Amino acid sequence: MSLIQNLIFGLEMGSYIAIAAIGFTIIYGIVNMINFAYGEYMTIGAFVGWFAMSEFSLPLAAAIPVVIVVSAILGWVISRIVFVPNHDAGPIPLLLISIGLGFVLRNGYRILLGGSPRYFDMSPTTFRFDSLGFFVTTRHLTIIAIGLVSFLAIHLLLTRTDAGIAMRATSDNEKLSTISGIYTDKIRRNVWLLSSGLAGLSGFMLATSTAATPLTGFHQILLVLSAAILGGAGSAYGAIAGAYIIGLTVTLAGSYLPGEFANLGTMFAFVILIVVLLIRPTGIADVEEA
Amino acid sequence: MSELTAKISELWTESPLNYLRVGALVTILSVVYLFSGLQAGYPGWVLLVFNVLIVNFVLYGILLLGLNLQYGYAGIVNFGPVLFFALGAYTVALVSAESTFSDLGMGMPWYVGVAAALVVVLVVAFILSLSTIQLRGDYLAVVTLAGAEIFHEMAAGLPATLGGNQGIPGIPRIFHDIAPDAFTAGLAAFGALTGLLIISYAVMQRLGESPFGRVLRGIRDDETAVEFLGKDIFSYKIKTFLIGSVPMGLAGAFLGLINGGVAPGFITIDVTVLVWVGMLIGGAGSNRGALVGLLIISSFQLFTRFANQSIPVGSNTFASLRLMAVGLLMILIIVYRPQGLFGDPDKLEVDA
Repeated sequence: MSLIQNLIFGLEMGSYIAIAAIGFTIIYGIVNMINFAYGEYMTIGAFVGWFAMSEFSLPLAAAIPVVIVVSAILGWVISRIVFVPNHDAGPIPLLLISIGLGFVLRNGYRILLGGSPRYFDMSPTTFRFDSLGFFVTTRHLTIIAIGLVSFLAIHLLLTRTDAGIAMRATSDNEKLSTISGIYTDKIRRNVWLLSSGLAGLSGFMLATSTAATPLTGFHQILLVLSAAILGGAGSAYGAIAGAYIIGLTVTLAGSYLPGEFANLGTMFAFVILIVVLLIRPTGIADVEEA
Repeated sequence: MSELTAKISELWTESPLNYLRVGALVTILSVVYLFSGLQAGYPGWVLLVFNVLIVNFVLYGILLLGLNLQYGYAGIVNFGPVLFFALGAYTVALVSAESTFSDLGMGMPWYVGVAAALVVVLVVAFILSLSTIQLRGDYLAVVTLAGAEIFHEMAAGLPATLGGNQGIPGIPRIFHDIAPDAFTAGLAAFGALTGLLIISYAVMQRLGESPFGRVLRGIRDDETAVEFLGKDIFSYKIKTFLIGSVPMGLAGAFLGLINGGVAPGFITIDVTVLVWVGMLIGGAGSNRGALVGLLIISSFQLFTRFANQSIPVGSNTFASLRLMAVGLLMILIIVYRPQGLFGDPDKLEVDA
């Protein structure tokens, strides 16, 4: 495969990983927990999207807001029950709770929805550039575009709205924010809405290119985590950069490594993660900002 | 009669040395029985119970003792114990397997495989701990988990090196190759490995009571204070990680020698979660408590396996329900009883 082709695949992967990584890292910054059930929040979006498009025959453009809203509400309800009452338990107990929750949700999906994959009818239009040795489909372009629009929306949310500024303040210094009159408890409760909505959108984008299964999000969790940590825990902009690095690494590794090592694309993301944690636990961005 | 019991209780104090004797006795008796050629006769469901318990309680129990030393005593959040379990299993396979259709495995004697497994486990544990042990608790959890995931991916993705999804068959089955039938092998294996579990318990218990163990508890509760007393925290943590990884690798090695093969399905994150849940139910920091916790979990699994025959749901649904229950249990324990059933709430502050 040509380099350009790999870059396109890498950008596509980077786009959905980035959206998930932002949602993941926001929770890390504000609630101070690593949410290992985040992949299951992504899976919600994949199935909501599938029902919206296949059962209710909505077009893609109409399905996206439905996915975001429904995933946000469902994720928020789950978090209100499981995480919010335990926000002050400390990072390790919260991590263990999230691992337990992941088990419950994953297997719950399997019982409710069955294990068989559900495919999306995307019927992509393909643009071929054979002289340059690559092709692009409308689906690639759509996913990359959704990514860019989401980044802009999140940027505006974090810099131009009171809620976003309060979120960044809480992420930076919770005690100081409380003293300054920000309702940090309210922020910590409701940030789950944003995080779950982003997870759902990401899961949906991912599922359109593969399929919706009970394990859709679970297979991505370590990639998302790698992207978030690479970008510096709690930094939304770092998470975007980290996600594209991960996406390109996985794609290029899968394409250029010899023989059976080509199967190990995702493994290199974890290797990057470990190396980064060892050299710079604060991430590559190293700015203490959400 | 009362004199006799008094004498026995006089001899039998709750000391690790006594456990060591009992464990060694059980192992030796099982091995003698295995070579005696006597055939065991018992119903088929008992064999099923043995087979489930050998893996889900005895081998995971040995693994758990190592994890409990790391987390329960020293507060090292190792969320990848299955990595060392996997390294043990795969090393035995690569060194001792004699596979006919994949040319993996060198066909060495099984004990050479076990020795090699321990060397590999120690080397990997040393490299990993040297670089990560100073990380914050949740970061350490992430790194160990990612490490386990990397190995799982390698095992599944490299057919020519590690057998791929098919795994590596042809490992010598140390009990089944000698015993006349499966029932005899099951009984002997259960006995010998239970003995090994008791021995491991004795060793870990003794270690925990020693000055070394006291320093570890100090590190868990207040690192700064222990450092102030002039202890080298870093080297203590490395040693703990190394010692704890030995039973993990040993359990993995015996998994290979019981099953006669290894595959990626044996080394998933589920193993990590089961062992952690067992430890948390019983109470981290107490070897006996953690083992009882694991026994509760494995009995639950055993019980539900039989119960499925009388409940009208498909076996897939049932497996999912069982894992849901394990996850739910994990949440409930952390929320309502973080010290577990037998843990001491003052001793274990779960927050890192």
